[in-house]
Amino acid sequence: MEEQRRITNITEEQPKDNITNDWKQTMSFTDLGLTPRVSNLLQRYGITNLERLLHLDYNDLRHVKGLGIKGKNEILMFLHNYGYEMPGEDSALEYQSLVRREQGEELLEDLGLPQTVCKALNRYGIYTMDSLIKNLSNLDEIPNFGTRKREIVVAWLKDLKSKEEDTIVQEQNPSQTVSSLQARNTELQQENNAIQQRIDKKQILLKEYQQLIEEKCQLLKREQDLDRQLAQLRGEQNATPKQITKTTK
Amino acid sequence: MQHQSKLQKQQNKASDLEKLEQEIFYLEEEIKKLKQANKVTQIRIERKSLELQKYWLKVLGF
Repeated sequence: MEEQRRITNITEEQPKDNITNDWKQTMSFTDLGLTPRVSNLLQRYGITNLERLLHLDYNDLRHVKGLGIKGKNEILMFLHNYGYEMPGEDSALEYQSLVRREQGEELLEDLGLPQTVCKALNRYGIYTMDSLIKNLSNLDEIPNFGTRKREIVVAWLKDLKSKEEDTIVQEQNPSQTVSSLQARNTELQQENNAIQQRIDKKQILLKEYQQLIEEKCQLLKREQDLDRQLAQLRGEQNATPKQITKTTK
Repeated sequence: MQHQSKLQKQQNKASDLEKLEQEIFYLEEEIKKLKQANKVTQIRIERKSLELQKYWLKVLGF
């Protein structure tokens, strides 16, 4: 009742600036782009022009009988076309998202589309994947939905598609994936075993090499001793034989 | 990037195996040579020991 009175009060208000607000007062909703149905519903509540509509906030629209979500969205889009936003519309969009989620609909924001893009689409009545795909060719018509947002949507759709394809391949061939992984695992194990065997063999050979080097050193030392003794004896032999016999006796 | 590093790893593994095979081959060759050289040295040592023994026998009058 209070809301009804408020709307009536608004209808009785006089615009302040007659010159600049003229078209907002004089032009009908249908002339400005609203559908006849929504235009009639608003008029029944005394909202006969844009000027009066701009005095409402989103909450007031729930009192307009016969005006559902589609109609409300139409009004929001209509206002956006003229560069206006209705106070309280953000919370309304969130509420609508909540309602749709409760009804089991999978929303675009739940599928990962960035919030800013989702909100712009929500204002156009696009909440779900189905509605997005239906309206893909009309994205140009959405106000404040520029090239950047369109690029984001396209990239997001491509990404979703590639993820879906990967999931399908995995789902179709789970057993093949597992068996191929197992086979690869066995291959890798065999490769690693072969490498380990080579490493072990190298270690054994290195030890053997070291032992042979030590043996060589000992043999060379022994040979040097023998050479020294022989040289000593040869030196003594070169001296007189008598001297030698004397020493030996 | 992941795919490339996997490929690189496989290639590195293959080259590691090759390197190991080469090192093993080299070691085996060197071991053969050393064994041969030690044999020759051993023969020389035996010859020189014999020479020394002959000398001492001569000196002692045998």
